[in-house]
Amino acid sequence: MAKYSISVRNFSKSFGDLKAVDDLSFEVEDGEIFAFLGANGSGKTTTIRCLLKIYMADKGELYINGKEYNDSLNNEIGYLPEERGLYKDSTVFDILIYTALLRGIERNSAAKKTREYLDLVGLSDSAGKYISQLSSGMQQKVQLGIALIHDPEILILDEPFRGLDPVNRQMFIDILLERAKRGVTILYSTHVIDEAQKMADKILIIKSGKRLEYGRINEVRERHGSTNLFVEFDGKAPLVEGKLYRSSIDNKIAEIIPKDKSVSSNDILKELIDHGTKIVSAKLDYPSLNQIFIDLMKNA
Amino acid sequence: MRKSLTIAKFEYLKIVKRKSFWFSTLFFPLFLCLVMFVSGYSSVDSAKKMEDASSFDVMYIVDDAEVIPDEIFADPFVRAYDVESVKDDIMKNPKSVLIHIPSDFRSNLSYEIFLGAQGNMVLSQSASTIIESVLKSVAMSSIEDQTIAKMIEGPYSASKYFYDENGEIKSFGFEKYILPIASIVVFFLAVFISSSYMLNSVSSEKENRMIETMLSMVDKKSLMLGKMIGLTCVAFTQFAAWIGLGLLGYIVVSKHFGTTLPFSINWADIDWSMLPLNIFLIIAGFVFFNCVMIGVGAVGTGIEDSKSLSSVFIILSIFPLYLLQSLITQPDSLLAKVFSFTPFTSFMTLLLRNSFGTLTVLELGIGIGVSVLYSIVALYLSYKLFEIGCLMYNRRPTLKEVFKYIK
Repeated sequence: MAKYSISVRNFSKSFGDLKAVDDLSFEVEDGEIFAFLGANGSGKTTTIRCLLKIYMADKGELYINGKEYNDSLNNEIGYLPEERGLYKDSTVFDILIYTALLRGIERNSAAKKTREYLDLVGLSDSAGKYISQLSSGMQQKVQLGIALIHDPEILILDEPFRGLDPVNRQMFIDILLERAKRGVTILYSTHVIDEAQKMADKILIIKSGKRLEYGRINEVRERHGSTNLFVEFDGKAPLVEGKLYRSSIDNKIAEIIPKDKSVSSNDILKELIDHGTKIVSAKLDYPSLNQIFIDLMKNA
Repeated sequence: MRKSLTIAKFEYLKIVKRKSFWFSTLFFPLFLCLVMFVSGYSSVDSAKKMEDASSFDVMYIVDDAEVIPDEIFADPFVRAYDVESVKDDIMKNPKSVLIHIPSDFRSNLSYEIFLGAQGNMVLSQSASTIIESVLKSVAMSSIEDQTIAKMIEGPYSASKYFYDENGEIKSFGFEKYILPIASIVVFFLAVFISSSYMLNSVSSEKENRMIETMLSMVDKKSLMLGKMIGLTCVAFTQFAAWIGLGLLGYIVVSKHFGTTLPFSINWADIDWSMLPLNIFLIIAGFVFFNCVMIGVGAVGTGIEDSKSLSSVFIILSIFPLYLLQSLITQPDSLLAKVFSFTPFTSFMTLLLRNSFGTLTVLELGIGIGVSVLYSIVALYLSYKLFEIGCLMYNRRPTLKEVFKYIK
């Protein structure tokens, strides 16, 4: 068993007649970035809450570092819940110090870490402000600070990028990647599939509490059908539904999915050129995580 | 315990650092004094006005019973001989009144008051007060032996004594009431004020969505304990501020007006035997009501919802105060016994009855038993309600969900 790891085996949880999670299993290894993907109500938050014993599991084994969550793990785990909130009538500095003290950090060290974090996220000037005076983006930085203040070895983040503007989202990603470089194990749930493809080592996709896909990103992509064509284009965009292909477009890049395995890339490129699409570049790759996610959600 | 103390300190400072806390703490007793002064002044003033005959231009009296001597008839009293003769003046002048004392007045003490169409209840009551005062003074002055008149009129004063265990006479002074009053005040503070802070704290934590973050750092028991300690300290800070304010007021008043307390306290005369049970009941009541508020705060959807939910429990718990006299004068009544052992009312009823020495040994034993039982049940239920409700945002758990979870 790796030192900082998460292991979930045959986990199930119901709320009344609703089966929130059904026989779910996965492993997060030491130092790994693990993305937990699923639509709203798919069971991500329930799994995280049961992992941290905020809810009690009906069945299964949920282990952190080889044992069930308990008080002794508090200082090794940083948690950012989905339902986020702060004491509106406390100052930024007070609330970070308070949570650091609860994590067992000595007061002087807590003050030092608080100042360092506020510097990092550009909130030093707001240290004395009340939470109610902050914008929602600034409040989210404080919330992330609560999860990070004690330098945890494991980060469990429920929708960490929700509601962030692109600048703050990138700042959060950079902070998390920097922690990952230091060897921190990160489990996070998200709807932002593209970021997961760039950031995560391993993914889990669930729907209605059931596991649909799980594994290293390239393994998952490889498992999902033939290679797709990624076309950078200018001017006229490819059709969403062509004769030989379907496409999914993000900015000026189209992911072209052949309708049939027998269709060659050359035939597709010819159809695109005939259609009037100016091709800047093209490459063959496995389907994107985004496409796999959409297909799984449609077909499951 | 270290985490609970950290939480306690944070909760305490969060409230005590607010200007609004000190404003309400200091303003409340001043506001209370102001209300008492205005209410006392206005009642004295209105009582004086009621007895003031000059508020009428004229008060006609038709005295068929011949009870009012001639010397009374000075302005505004005017003797009339029949009701009809002054009817027109009464109808025209709103500040006139006619009082008819019929011939059989001495046997039934009934008389009549007539006002114009603009007359109202206040005027009729004032006329009644004035004429009855006149009739009483006439009656008193007709008693030859004025000592008897004084005995009828009063006021009386009594010096109270009691025999102690050694048969010695002791003055029945204010000391008898110090502990009961202090117990009730401390009970009120510890139980109601701190539990209202607790309700606010739990429901605002849920409303702020901070609870889940907190539960990732501390377990539920430590969180509840920390809140209890911190918020009790807030209640006692408020209590200390009020005592300080009272002492300051007393020093200022006695220095400027030279007044001292209207009684002296002999500390040796205080009956300390009631203290252990009172302390026990205060602690048990404190645990019970704080747990109730934790449960209510956890299942409510927000502060306002939790407050409306809690009102029914608060009314139940202060109910014994409304029946204070009955509980003291009829300690063996069915009502006193039922209230003594019923959840919510038991703590205050037992405290009141113990303070006034009306609890039997058996009742005392049962009282201790039910207090412990109710506190343990409240602790268990509040923990369960906290577990089920604290992460249930925007809705309350249904009774079915609660029962299922508790089972």
